[in-house]
Amino acid sequence: MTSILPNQIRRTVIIVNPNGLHMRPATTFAQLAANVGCDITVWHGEKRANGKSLWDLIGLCALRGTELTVEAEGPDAETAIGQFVDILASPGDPE
Amino acid sequence: MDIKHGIPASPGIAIGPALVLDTEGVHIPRRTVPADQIPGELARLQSALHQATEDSRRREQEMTTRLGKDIGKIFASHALLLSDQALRFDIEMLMRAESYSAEYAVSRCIRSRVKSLDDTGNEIAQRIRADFIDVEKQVLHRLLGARSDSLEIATQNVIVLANDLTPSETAIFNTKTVQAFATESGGATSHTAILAGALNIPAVVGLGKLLNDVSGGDIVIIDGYEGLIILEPDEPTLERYRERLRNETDSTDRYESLRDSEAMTKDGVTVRLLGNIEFPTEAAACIEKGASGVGLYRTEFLYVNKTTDPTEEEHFQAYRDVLSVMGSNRPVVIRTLDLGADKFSPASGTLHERNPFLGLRSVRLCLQNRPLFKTQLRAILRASCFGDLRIMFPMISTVLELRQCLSLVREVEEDLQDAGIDYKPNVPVGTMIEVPSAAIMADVLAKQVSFFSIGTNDLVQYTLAADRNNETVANLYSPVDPSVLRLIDSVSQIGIRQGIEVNVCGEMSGEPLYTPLLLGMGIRQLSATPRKIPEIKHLIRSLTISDAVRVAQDALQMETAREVTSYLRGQLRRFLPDDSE
Repeated sequence: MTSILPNQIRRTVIIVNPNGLHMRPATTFAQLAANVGCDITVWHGEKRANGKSLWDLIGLCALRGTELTVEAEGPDAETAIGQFVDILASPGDPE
Repeated sequence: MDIKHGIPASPGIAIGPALVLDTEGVHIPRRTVPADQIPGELARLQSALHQATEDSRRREQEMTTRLGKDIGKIFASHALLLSDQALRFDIEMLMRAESYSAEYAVSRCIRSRVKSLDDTGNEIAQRIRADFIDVEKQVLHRLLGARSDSLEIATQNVIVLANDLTPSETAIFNTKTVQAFATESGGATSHTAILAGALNIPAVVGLGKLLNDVSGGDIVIIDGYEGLIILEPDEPTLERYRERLRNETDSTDRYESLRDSEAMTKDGVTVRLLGNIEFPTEAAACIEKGASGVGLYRTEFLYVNKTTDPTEEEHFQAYRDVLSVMGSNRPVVIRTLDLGADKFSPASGTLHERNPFLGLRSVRLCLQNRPLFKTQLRAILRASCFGDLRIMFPMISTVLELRQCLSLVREVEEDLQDAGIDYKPNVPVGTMIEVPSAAIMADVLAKQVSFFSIGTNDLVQYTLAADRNNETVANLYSPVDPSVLRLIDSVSQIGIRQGIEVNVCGEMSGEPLYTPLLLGMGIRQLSATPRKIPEIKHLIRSLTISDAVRVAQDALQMETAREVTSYLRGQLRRFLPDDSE
């Protein structure tokens, strides 16, 4: 776990879902991001996705094996980030 | 200026504004609005996005209840995409900066996202592409409302450009406004192309990627002779084509003088030239072009674009109309329903088939839907009193199928007799030979019927197992592939030996290149689109049967379709040295 700014948490995760970060997990991710107080950003190399935007998340086209970085910033960043990492790290489609 | 080459599907020239359709719905033309209307456009956008989001949420609930969470979630995704703040922001920016209409800005924004997906070429991108397009459609639907059906709103003259057109789409074309069409996919003998020929409008198919380079309203030129579409034509090109368009009217009259002459070879052998028609209104064209009857009256138009199956009365009137135009001396061959596969009818609720061309279509469909089949047969038999009518069954693949069809005809005759309704007894019944199995068994089939009609389009595709609409294998599809020639020759010889007429319908019979070959194999009846008849007649009058026999003998010795084609080209130049085409 690295912290660059106060209240900013970054964690890396590798996609293991055989279908990659496809519509269903990305939808779960975006829905959850809309309900937390902090900003969520996902990085795929230089490519940046707003965690609340399904267009952005899907646009990452992250296949299995891709390494993504999740960044949470703002209130509750530390408590929130785990849920997002869990979604991305899930081997199947989360509920 | 950009010239694209495709397959010429229906001859003619057209110049006009493009109406762009694609499989993904309406292609929105670039439209700007005056600055003072921008706030109104923004409000329209906001409301459309809101409504489309609500639509998706409703569908999410509905589907979750009906089909479960997984399916429901698809629509939850759509709702998220539709309510996305960044998307809305991008669209609004574009509208403010460029004064674009809401429709065009939506289309631009979503298409640019689709394009970046396509650029990655990765498998996730391929899977979600359809969702992005669907989302676009939903917003556009809300913005355009009932106006979204652009085929029907085409009130000015247009040239329709599409990835592909279904036959039913082609059928609703208003030929007063649709001057021509061009498609990215498709082959020369696709049903769409056949329909274009029947509607007598120029068409080019198989152009490959095209739609991204055209905007609605751009002036384009369609050259249906060469199979070209010219985008952004320059002034000299436009002038050249306008000139050709003016001359065209003259050249169609070129063989006009032959209308009343017989289709007789130089050595006195008569060939019967018949017309293929799709709609009753085309019967007049047959006579005008000098056809001695209708060799193929397709009846599918009665079924497509209908929500219910046609009534006996609708059938009857359509047949009687044609018979009354043709009179008592010109035969009219009515082909029973040849629906299925690519020509779907919403009424019959076609099941999903993995391999529709090898599935439940045509006479197979009829034999499994007896009431539907008998309705048509009753109408045909009733109409038989009004002229020289003949019945023909399509896609017969076994002797048993033919027997079943024949016994149904007898059954319907008995019903009519019992009801005291008039019909002509002993109406000639024939079968199409378009499945290789039927060609192989032709000697047995010949005992049951009074004529054969070789449907070359299907015979070619089934013999070579190549889909004529699939441009990646269309090169295999050739009516002069030696395998096909052997089948046609054998069927023709069986007809001669067993004393039944053998007709050839299908694209092959309308193509002068193949006429000498067919005559040389013993064919004495050709049924083609009426437009082609004068030209074919001119050619027949320019050769002798012994020429034709030599051509057939030579061609039947050859090993590849390419060899045969180039040989036939040389022969055609010999027979018609004055025709520079």
